[in-house]
Amino acid sequence: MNASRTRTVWQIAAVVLIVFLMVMFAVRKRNEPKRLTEHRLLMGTIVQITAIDPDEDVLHSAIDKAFATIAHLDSVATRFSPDSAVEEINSRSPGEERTYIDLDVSTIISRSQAISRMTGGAFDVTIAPLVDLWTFEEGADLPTDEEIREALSTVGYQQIRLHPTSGGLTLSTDVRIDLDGIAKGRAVDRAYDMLRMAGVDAAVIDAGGDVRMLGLPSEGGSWRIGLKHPREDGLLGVLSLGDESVATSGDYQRFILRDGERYHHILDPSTGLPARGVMSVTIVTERCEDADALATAVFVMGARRGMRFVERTDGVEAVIVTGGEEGDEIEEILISSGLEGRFELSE
Amino acid sequence: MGRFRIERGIMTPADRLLFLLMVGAALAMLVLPLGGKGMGGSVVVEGAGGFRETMSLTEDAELVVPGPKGDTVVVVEAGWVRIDLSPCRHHICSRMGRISAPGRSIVCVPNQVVVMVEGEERAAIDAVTR
Repeated sequence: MNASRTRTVWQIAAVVLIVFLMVMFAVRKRNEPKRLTEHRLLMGTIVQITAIDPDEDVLHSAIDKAFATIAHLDSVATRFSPDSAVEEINSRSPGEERTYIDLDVSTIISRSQAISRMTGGAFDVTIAPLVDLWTFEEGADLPTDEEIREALSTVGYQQIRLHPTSGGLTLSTDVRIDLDGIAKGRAVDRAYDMLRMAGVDAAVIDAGGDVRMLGLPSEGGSWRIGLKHPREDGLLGVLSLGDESVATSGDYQRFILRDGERYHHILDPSTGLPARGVMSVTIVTERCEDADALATAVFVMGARRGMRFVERTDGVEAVIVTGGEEGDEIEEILISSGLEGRFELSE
Repeated sequence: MGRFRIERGIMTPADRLLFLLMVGAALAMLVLPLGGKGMGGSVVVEGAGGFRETMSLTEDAELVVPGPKGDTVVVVEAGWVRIDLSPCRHHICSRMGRISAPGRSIVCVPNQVVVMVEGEERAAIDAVTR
């Protein structure tokens, strides 16, 4: 082979190699995971879904289905809409059986009763009359002891009877329900199911701080979830989490200050008053509806009893921030054993 | 002399250099991360009736957003954004404080206002529980 011919062969080989590398690049770009984020106002908050998958069509379709599911729950499980299943239940006569209620709503009520039993009534969806008493508006009067006593007389999760065969329910006295402490979590779970069924590789569903993660953001990686500082603008710390849920209840979300005392929206169903001694409770568990409800329940239980409950309950972890009883400083940050090494305090 | 090298060598030095540059560029495309980093530092404000404005986080500014309850005032100051004034009942939005990280948001549901910090790169935090 002469030099000129050898040179030509090498040049062709070089071009073939470069074309091969270009094709590999194009294939890699096509399979590179794409990240799509969309948000909508639903469930009385902003719901943001970020999904990751190589197929953009799958992403759009899955996110649309997830939002449609949340929109359904928004229409049936909140008290904002007079036509919702919850308002229909609340408008019935005492003892009157509802022969059919929305499946999502009956599932939420069923799960809320289980959580009420687990927590000794620290979480209770029959708290609606108390919620209505506390308006947390600037200048509004605080409810009187008499008003609170009267509202408490209708509170009690035992007064709801679900009828699994007919899909109906009966409320034994003049009970009214409020599912806001669990419905948002349920909506996140339903959106998670939709995204998983659509085959999405990874996702984060965030409904105003009730968050559920699907898969992992990268191989061997973890999701980084910030915890809001209960008194400052920044973060208290960051949790490294996998395919699980996280939700927080804090005394800073809805409150009024009177004579230096903070009256907030997390009410103790046994006293009718805002629960004391805790600033925030963050729960990590598998399902977001459980995280949502348990964050409220553990807040009401208080730091010591709440942490004992968390430690003896399988699959439930917590970060509890105590303080607020004397002054407005954080006293302690309690971290359950299962979160050791996964919680990083912000500087 | 030069002609002698062309005949004896398989490629000239210039050929070799071009070849190496092309292979290097192709390998770089294959190995380096895809996609550019976003500039970040912008805030999207959405309101009722399709209202949408983009503000820079690097310039202090104030934006009045009309809504069903009245005007919400969004303020950018020193690289942070917050809802300064709101006509809503509970003022949950103004109590959410200020934000600056991509992906973070403040929302006023009654007045239908969403304030969101944007950035194409993956934020250091995937979500905030609150």
